[in-house]
This record gives sequence, structure tokens and C-alpha cells, in this order.
Amino acid sequence: MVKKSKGRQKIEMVKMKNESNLQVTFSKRRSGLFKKASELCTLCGAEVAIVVFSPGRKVFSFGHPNVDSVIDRFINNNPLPPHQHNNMQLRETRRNSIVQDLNNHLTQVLSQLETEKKKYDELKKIREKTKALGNWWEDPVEELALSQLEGFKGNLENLKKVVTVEASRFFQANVPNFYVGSSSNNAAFGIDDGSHINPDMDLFSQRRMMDINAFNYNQNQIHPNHALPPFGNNAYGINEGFVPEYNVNFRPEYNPNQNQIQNQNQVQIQIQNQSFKRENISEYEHHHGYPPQSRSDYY
Amino acid sequence: MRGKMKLSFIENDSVRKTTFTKRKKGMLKKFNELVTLCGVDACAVIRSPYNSIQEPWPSREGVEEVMSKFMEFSVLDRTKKMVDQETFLRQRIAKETERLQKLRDENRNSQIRDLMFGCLKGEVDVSHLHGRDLLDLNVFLNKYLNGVIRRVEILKENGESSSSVPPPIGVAPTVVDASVPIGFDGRMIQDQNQNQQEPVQFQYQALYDFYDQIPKKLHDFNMKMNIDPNQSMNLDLNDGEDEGIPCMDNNNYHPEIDCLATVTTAPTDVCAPNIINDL
Repeated sequence: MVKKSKGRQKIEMVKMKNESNLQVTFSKRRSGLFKKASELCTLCGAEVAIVVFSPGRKVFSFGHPNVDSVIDRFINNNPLPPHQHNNMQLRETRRNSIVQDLNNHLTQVLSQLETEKKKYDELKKIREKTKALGNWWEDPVEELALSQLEGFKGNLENLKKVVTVEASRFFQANVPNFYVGSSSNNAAFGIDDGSHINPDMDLFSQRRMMDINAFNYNQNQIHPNHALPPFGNNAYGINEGFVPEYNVNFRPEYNPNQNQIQNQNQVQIQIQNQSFKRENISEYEHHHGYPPQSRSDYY
Repeated sequence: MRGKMKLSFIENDSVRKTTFTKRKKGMLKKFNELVTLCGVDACAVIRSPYNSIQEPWPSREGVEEVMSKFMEFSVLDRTKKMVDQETFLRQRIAKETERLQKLRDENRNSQIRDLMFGCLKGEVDVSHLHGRDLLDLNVFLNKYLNGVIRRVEILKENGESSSSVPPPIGVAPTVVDASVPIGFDGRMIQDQNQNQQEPVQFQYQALYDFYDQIPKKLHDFNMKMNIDPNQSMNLDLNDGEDEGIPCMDNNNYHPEIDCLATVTTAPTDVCAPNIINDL
């Protein structure tokens, strides 16, 4: 049986004729050789120097402690190492410590790689088992027909809606200050209070649809609400009680405003500067749409 | 079966010596294979730590020949590909880490793909998923859906005729959609979905734009404060109102209803009674 890959296959020990194969073989085997040399140095404390010229006439070398010192000692036929000074010995110790740390790190990475490979094999096995069931929709997209794709597309879009809703719900549940209070309100008042929150979001959408004149009308209504923040900043006795409530309400309003920005981009293809400024003011009004309502609940 | 060997200095002298001998032989064998297969020049010098022998390969003359050739290179060319053990280990760690990350990403994609098909078949309930899974599933689902859409467009351009193959059985979203509230609330959820179908990158951009607008609003507000003296009078009046009866806050909310009354749309009519009831 002829194998499709060269894994675990004996090869003839002669010079390779194919140039690209020769390059790849050189690269892989050189790395393997250096790896063996590195292990030998680590395990046995040997000193090694290897110099290899590549088929492309480049020079690769590996040495421990380094190529030059080992080769110099060899050429000078000096078998015994010179008497080491304190500095030299200290450097040797530090190098060994670094190499030890690197070896530990490498071992750790290799073990993690082994774990991931096992997981990969398990997933592959599961996939093959699933494929045997004959589910056509799990085939690659390129193998499906047009009617299959259209039906499949509808199902995917439905699933996408559900996933998006669940993701939004999940992240809203993680905003502690506002929604925790809202949860307690829901517990107290049941479904009605839950349905009460949605109309406010619709109010924002409706305001988004108003024309410039409506914005002017809103702008007249804005003035009283603008008074609230600076008074909250002032040290009036009654407003001190108001400030924490306002701060609590301020945070969740980022979310509806973000939705409004998206609505804005969808509804209006071109936005004039004047309209844009007024919409900014209108959005500022929205910040204060909540406080009266919340204070009602509070009282 | 040999256990995986710990990669550290062997303390036992005899074991270390035996290991040195065997590993040296194996390394030289690999050295020979490299030279034979690739037809390249190479040399090696191995010095054992416990005797004074320095063993050259292939021979002393061979080493000297290769080293003289080595010295003909400029210092830059010589050191460009020169590594000591520390450098070699760092390079190897970087390479293995990259492989590890790639394999992890591939495994994650496989998991999310199986999860997606599980949801489609109704085997997995979306509401039970963890946030991280939801995010990854959302991203993967967008990519996969875009792939399907592109494929549909290609087939339509080619004018391929459609065959009658039934859709998959027992798809979960159909069941989940039935539980979604209908009417007003359903409309709200649909609007929300439409907003959030924008790409994730766009959402980040939207958020960025939103944060930029905050200082501008405060600046506009401060400008009004400075320009209009009457504004201060209104502020004082509001302060008086705040001191008074709580129901005045409801009156502050009353203009909102008047504002809504100017818009004649069905959802507004549905909203108004709810607000009155709450008040």
C-alpha cells in the first residue's frame, strides 16, 4: 500500500534529488539535530558545537556554551578548561539557571500541546460519528443545493435572533445596580412592572421618529430637567437624597442610548449638523426621562 | 515502556555517563543522516564533562576544513544563524506556543460548530448557555450565515434549479420563537434584534461615538447656563418644587404624555393606557 504522506515511512539514505524536498528535509532535520544537541547539553553537561552549511550556502550553528569557545579550545588542542575566575563561574551558574527555567517552560508548553492534541482527536472522533448519521446540513456549505441553502439560511437566522436575545439578556443581568432594583420591582409587582419597562424603550424609538418641530417642542420641555444635575452637585439638603438615586439611574441609560445611535444610523441616511445637535439635546433629555419615574417608585 | 524523561541535569554519575554515550551515538547518527540526505558540509565537536577527550566529527581534518570555510564568512553572516542553548530554547518555546494557540483556536471552532448544530437540532437549549459560549456562538453564527448567504447568491447567479429537499427536523428556534411575547412586546424584541444584528465592530464604533458625545452635551449645557440669566430663575423654581409634594414629580412626567399625544400611531395608543395605570 502506498502511503499518502511521508509520516512513519522509511526513506532511502542517499542524497535527495528533488530540490524543494531537500530544502524542507534540511530544515526539519537541522532543527531535530539541534534539539538532540540541546538535550545532551542539559542532561549530561556536555559541551557541543555544531556547524552546518545549508544547500543555499548559509551557515547554521549551535553551541553550548557557544560555538567559538568550543571550537577555539578544539583547534588549540587544549583539552582542559582554563582555570575559571569567579566572574566566569558566576556567569556559568546564571546561564544554567536561565536554561533550566527555559527547559521547564518548554516542558510545560509541550504538555499543554499534548492535551490540546488529545482534545482535537476527541472532537474529530465525535464529528466522524455525527457524519455517519447522514445529517446533510452539517456538510460543507459548498456541497449543498440552492433550496437546501435557503431553508438552512432561514433556520440560521432564527437561531441568530435567539442567540442575540440570550446574549443581551445575559449581559444585562450582569449590570448590578439598576437591574437588581428592577428585579426586586418585578418581584413586587409581577408582570405589569415588567411590561412597564418596555414602553419606555418604545418611547425613545417614537421620539427618534419626530420631526424638527417636535424637537423644538421637546426643547421647551427640557429646561426644567436641565436643572437637576447642577442642583445635585450643590449641597442642598433635600437634593443630597436625590444624588445617589440619580447616579444609580445614570449607568443603565448607556444601553438604550447605544440602541438609539444604531436607530439613528438606520433611519437617517444623511444627518445635517443642525439636526445632529438637536438630536444630541434630545438624547440629553432622555437621560432625565427616568428620574421622575424612578422617584415615583422610590416614594 | 520508558517514562517521559525529565529535562534537567542528571545527578547520578554512572547514569549520566551511560546517557551521554547513548545519546551522543544517536545524535551523531542523525548528523550522518543529515549530511547524507542533503549533501551538505558539516562538522561537530563534542566534549564530555568527565574526561578530557574532545571528539570531532567527521575527523579532526574534516573539522578544520569546515571551520576554515566557516571563518571565510563575515562575522555578520556567521552570527546571523548562530544560536546558543538559551537562544535555541527561546526560539523553540515561541514556535511551540504558536502551535498551541493555533490548535486551541481550531478546537474552539469545532466545539462551537457542534454547539450550533446542537441548537439547530433542538438538542441544546440556548437559554442555558454561558455568556462566553453565547459570544463565541454569535460570532461563529455570523460567519457561517455569511458563508451560506454568499453561497446562495452564487447559486442564484448561476441559475441553478432548486431541488425539493426538506429542511431539518425539530429545529429549536421554532420552539423558542413560540414562547416570545406577541404584539407590543414582540415588536419591541424584534426592534432590539434588528439593532443588534449590526456587526460587532460597528457596536464598538457606536459605543465610541456615544462616549465622545457626553462632553459635548455638558459643554452645551454650561453654555446655556452662562448665556441665559432666566435659566437660574427656573432652576430656583424647580428647587422649590422638589422640596414640595412628591406628586409634583408626576406632574413633571405629565408633559411626556402631551408630547406623545401629538403622534398618531398605534403603538403609542397602546402605550398610553399603561402609563396612566402606572401613574
